[in-house]
Amino acid sequence: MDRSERERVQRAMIALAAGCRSEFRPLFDLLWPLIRAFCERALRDAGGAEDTAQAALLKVFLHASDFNAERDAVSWALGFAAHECLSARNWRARRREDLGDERWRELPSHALTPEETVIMRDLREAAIDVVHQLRDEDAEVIEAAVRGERPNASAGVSALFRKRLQRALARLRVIWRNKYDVD
Amino acid sequence: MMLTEQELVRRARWSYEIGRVQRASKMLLVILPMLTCAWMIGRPAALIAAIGTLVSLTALCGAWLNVRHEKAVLVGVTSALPALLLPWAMRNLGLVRISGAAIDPCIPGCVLAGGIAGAAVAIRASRERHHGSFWLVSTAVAGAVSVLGCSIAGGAGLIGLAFGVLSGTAPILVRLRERG
Repeated sequence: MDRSERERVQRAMIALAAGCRSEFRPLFDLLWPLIRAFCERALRDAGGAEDTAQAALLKVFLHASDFNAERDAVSWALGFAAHECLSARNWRARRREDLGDERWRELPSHALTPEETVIMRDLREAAIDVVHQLRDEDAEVIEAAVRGERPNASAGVSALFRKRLQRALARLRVIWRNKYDVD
Repeated sequence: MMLTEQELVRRARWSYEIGRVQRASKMLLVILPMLTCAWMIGRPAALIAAIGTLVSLTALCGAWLNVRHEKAVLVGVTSALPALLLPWAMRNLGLVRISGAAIDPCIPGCVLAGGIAGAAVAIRASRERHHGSFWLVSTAVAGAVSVLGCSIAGGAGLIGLAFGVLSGTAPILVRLRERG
């Protein structure tokens, strides 16, 4: 969602909160794809995600009258979606317990929240994208370092590898900074 | 759930209207204490019931409709509080003798409280973009609440109230018209 769409959502939500019903349909058209995409990314289950997104959207409109104009409307709406996704995941986990599958109970719960899952996936995709923009030899060195394949040969070869890795990482940082404007 | 988009739009709209009704119902948190106050100062139950119903319906419909009318109702109720309490406070003074003549202080009290209510509503309405509808709703609510208090002084009190509201409102409305 770009800045202008975000501003349109903000304006429409403020107007709807004040009781301007003509903003209902435009806001629905902006929010529905956004919430559905968020739930699909968070749950990775098209059917379940659609259900969860619908429940989240209904809650957004139920509470639209209490929207505080100082808050960001998109984040506010996605907060409902995140809460619904979390509830859906918890419900699934409970259902697995009810089905009596002992193996699930023994597993420690290290599950990420829907927001963390989405953030991790986005970061991974962004990193892969940046690595693809490197020269082949730089990408190979970084991949080798990630896999733990460091040359065990003489001190000279190891130092050369370190130097190549250092240069490749420096180029990676430059591309990252240019593309995402952050270090 | 898996609704079609049309069905989802319909349900979302319904959810929104329910949300607005929930918000509107909070207006009773202002109106019920005001009616309790009227009951505590000894206003007749039938009058409280009639005006309470009228004000509650106006408040619920106004707040359900939009925030502007919700504010108008709140302004109407708060600006009419002096008109609710002042005649009752003055009635406790009894008849006041001024140069031999006995005067009921409730009547000037109603004029004064009406003037305060009219001016407060008109000043607040003049700051609104849609000041006409704001003023209308606000004045209707303020008038109804003021009648609860000023009816202590009978018909003269109500006439005094009307005079006060008009004299408080008129200068601001005239200025507003001049401003365009």
